[in-house]
Parts: sequence; C-alpha cells; structure tokens
Amino acid sequence: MKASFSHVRIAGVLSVVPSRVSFFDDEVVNYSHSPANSRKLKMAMGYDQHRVAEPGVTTSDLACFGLQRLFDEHQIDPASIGAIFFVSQTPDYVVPPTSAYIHGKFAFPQDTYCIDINDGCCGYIKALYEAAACLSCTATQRALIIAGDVLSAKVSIHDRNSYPLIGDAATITLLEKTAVPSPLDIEIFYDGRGYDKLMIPAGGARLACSTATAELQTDEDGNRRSANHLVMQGRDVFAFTQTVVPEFMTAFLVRHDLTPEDIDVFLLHQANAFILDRLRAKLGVGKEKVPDLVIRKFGNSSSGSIPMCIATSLPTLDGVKAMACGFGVGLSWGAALFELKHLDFCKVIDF
Amino acid sequence: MKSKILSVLQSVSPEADFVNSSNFLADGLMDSFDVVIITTSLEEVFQIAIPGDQITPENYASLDQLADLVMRCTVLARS
Repeated sequence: MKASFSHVRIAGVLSVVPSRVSFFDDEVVNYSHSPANSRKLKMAMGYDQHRVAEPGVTTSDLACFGLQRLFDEHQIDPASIGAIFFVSQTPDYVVPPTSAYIHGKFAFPQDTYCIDINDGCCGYIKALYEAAACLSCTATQRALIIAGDVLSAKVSIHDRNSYPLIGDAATITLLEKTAVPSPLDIEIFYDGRGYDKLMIPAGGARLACSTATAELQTDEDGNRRSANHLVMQGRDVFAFTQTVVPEFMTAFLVRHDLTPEDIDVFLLHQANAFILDRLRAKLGVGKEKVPDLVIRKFGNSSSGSIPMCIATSLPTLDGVKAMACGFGVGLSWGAALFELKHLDFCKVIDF
Repeated sequence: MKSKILSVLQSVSPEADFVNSSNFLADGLMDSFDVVIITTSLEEVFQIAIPGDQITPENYASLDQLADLVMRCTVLARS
C-alpha cells in the first residue's frame, strides 16, 4: 500500500510513561542465564532501564492521563477532534473497543469516529495512514492517534528475550488538516506468513486463556513463559529486520528520489540498540540521525516507540525532514515521510 | 584467528564443545542472544563491523564459517 497526502501535519506529540523505572541489573536474577552473559547482552542490546506500569494500569489509563493534561493545558479542545485511532495490542477489553471507552471519558463530539487498530511495532505508520486518509477524505479537521502498550503484563519476567526490551507507554499524536501544502507519504507492506514470529498464543478465539495456558514452560534458550505471554522468534525476527527492512528503507528513499543524506532524522521503531545500530550502518548515516534514547531509557513501547522518539528528540527535531519506519508483528513494515516543525506540544510526562 | 574466535565462543558458553560441532546452532550451542554477544565480542576483538545481513545461521554455524566471516569483514574494514 502506497499513499500520498498533501495537506496533513503532525501538530503535537505527548508521551505518557509510568513513573516506575525498572533496571536491567536488578532483573538479571530472574533469568536462568549467567549474569556475566547478561551483562554483555546489556551492552549490546542497550538494556539499561525501562518503564513498567503498576499492576492493573492499562494503556487507556496512561492515555486518559495524557489527554486530561492536554485538555487542562488547553493544547487541544476535545470538541475539535473528529476521529480517534487507538493503536494497541493491550486493549482494556475484547469488547468494546478501547477507543470508545476513551471517547466516553471526555467531551468528544458524538460524531467523532472511533476505531481500534490491533497492531504493534508498525502500528503507528498504519494509524498515520488511517488518520491522514480520514482527514483528507472527510470534513474532519483534527484526529488523534493514541498509540502504545502496557506489555509488561503480557511478557514473562523470566523471559530474557522480551522482558528487558519492553517499555510501557501511551502516546498521543494530534494530526490536523493544513491550508498550506504539507506532504505525508506512506508505504505499508505485509508478509502474513510470519504471523507467528511475534505472538501471544492464548487469549483469542483460537485458544482461550485457561489454567493450562497460564503454566510457565521453559524454552530451549532457558526462558520461562506461558502461552498467555508474548513470544518472539528472535532469530527470524532479527533476520527480517536485517534483510527486508533495510532493503525496503533504501527502496522507499529511491522511490521518493531521496538519499539517506536528504533525511534529517530517521525515526525508527525502537526494537533494540543492536538492531538500530545495524540499520544505521546499512543506511550509512551517523548516530545523530538515528535516535535510540527510547530503547535505552524507556523501553520498546511497540506502536508507541516512534512517537516516543519524536517526543524525546525535540527540541533538536524542530523543522526537519523525517522518515519514520516501523517493523514487526504481522509481519509488517512501513515508512512515512514528513516534515516536523512548530509542534504545538511535544514532551514526555510521567504517570 | 581461529583460536581467538574460539576464545570468544568459550567466553560466552564455557561448557559448549565448539571444537567438535559442525553446526553450533543446530547442536544447541548458541541461541539468538548468544549470537548478539558473540557478534559484539568479535567486533571488539578484531576491530571490525559485522553487517546485520551477515548475521545469519550459515555464517555462525562453525569455526570455519566464523573465520571466513571475520576475514571478509576485516577486508571490508581495510578497504
């Protein structure tokens, strides 16, 4: 899927993170691996600290906290919002959509379009597409993308492959129609054959949660998790990020008659530092063009990681040409090309 | 070079028999996260950069293949 929009801009980004900080050094005791190897992994993967929500806190709790702050600060008038796109793999309920729940918490108009997008690391790119299409094809002037996850509840603390990576967060992006040209180009691809490379096996209609699915099992790498937890086929996912993703990024740039030098900042999904560093090397750009603070200080918040990247990289990002790239669950991957300037708000706040 | 590579491997998995294995991954001597540690250690020891697309099961299957990989990356680093 390839789309170009001409009069849509990102007007603001707010990220909400739990105030609780968890340190990798303190978590090493939960893993069956040798502490020495875990320390080496810490350096390679960028494991340092990440944000973990208190039990019972949901993605919508973080999002509603952020929305209330924006309304209190008069950054957004809820009456002006024509659509809400909630991107997450951790909805409050199976039914109803969390976007409807959030809609009911505030004074949004009744004709505000609300929809959930069940997606992860490429979810922000997909929501950008959905929101931009909505703004371009309807009378809607402003839309919200609420993207993020509280994956700490879905990842085993004994899983060294996943737990140190994840960071709970909810992000709020304000998208608005512009009078002056403001291009936004988006491409999204899928390979559904890789649907099981990143998955939570239990909890849907195919395998309901039960006592059996909650039982911890030890995998061949020594990680302990249950079928209720997120499982990642690390080797396959890594191969995907180092072959499909860089080829796509290069082709995307070529299709837009650009080189990596033309891009001021690459807002890459914050998978881990090892992957980011190798993608950066493949692009042939300096470290300053590929921010990785999110993975080092906050953790990977799946669909929230790109807006987290924006929120943590300002003020240096003001007035820059940005290429965002998401990749992961699906498998799916995509990119967006846009200019970031004069944002109404752009910050990270603690919940 | 091979002895240096072997030292790196043994520092990650001291109990594994890398000398007599013809396929480290298939024989369960290293998992995907060991690969990460080994990669960064090789980069440090040999002062090379291993491109992401070279981190494949084939290139990490044996001592010979790892030596070939290090050699290729050394040439790349010098060019």
